[in-house]
Amino acid sequence: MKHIILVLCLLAPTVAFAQPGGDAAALRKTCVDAMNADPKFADAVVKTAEFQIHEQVNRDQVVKDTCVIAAMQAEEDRIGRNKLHVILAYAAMWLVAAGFVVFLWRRQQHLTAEIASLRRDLEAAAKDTK
Amino acid sequence: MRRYFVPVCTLLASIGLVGTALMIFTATPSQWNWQPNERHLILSTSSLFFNHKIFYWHVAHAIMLFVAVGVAGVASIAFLARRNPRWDDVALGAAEVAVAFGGVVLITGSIWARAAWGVWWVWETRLTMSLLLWLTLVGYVLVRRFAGSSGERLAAGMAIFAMIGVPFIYTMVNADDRHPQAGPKGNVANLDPAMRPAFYLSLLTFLFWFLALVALRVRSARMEREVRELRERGLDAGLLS
Repeated sequence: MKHIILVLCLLAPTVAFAQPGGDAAALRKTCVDAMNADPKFADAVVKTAEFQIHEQVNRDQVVKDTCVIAAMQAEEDRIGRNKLHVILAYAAMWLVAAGFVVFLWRRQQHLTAEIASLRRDLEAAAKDTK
Repeated sequence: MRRYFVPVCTLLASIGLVGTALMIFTATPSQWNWQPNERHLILSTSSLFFNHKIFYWHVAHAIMLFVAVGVAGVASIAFLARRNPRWDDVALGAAEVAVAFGGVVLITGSIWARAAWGVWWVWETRLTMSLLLWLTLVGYVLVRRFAGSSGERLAAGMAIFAMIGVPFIYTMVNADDRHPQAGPKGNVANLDPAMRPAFYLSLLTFLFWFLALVALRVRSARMEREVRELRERGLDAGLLS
């Protein structure tokens, strides 16, 4: 019997909304009277209502999380497959290494030529002095 | 023996480079993972994307940068203590190689930051200190280039100053930094076993590369010294004007 009244109480606002001005006032009064008469019944009604509200909130949260996760995974896929940056980084490393080696090689060539030239000049000057 | 040092080191580095590249693209993990945090999923620094392949050469260059700065600092201390120009040549060679390695670290790090974080640069502790270290080394090279022989001791001081900064860069990183952590509990120390062979091989490869470059640069530093001595001899004898 209590279960029937509980279902009626939960249906009452819907029925009242669907049929404005009908038996809504009477149903609501029956429900309120039953709740007032039995505190355990009133507690069960409140708990059922709270449960339904939480269910709705959780459903909303799951939808929200799913959207966020999907967006994050799409972004992660984009980053994860991004080979361009790896190629750029490796190319930069090669360029710097090659530039440094060329710089060293040219400097050594220049220094070798300068040492040879100075030695020649010194020997020539020494011969002239003699 | 000395004659073959640079070719042997270069050959070993070349072999290592090929081996490292093969290992990076065939024998290291390519997956990534989500870090669950209660209701939400967060992207943690330990997640692996494809762009983590930059790690193997970026970190190896960073460690060689630290080694180069250490060599430059120790050689500078020895030069200041003994006034032996050979130590100065070693310091100069190591410092110039450190500039090149530091440039690679900053450039590849910036590209990796763009790939992983969506930004080219973040003013976080380690990045800022690494940039300052690199600028100090550039300052060293500029002093050596333009200050003449009087700049040798000043440059030696700068190299020692740079060396002191290295432990700070390696260990003094705030936990809330976005940069992967270093130190005894950091990413390198707790590297995934699947990543270790490629990483250690790349370290060895760039160690040989570093040795070859330093040896080459020291050789040219000695040649520069010889040019100066020849000029002075010519001037002293009145043979050169």
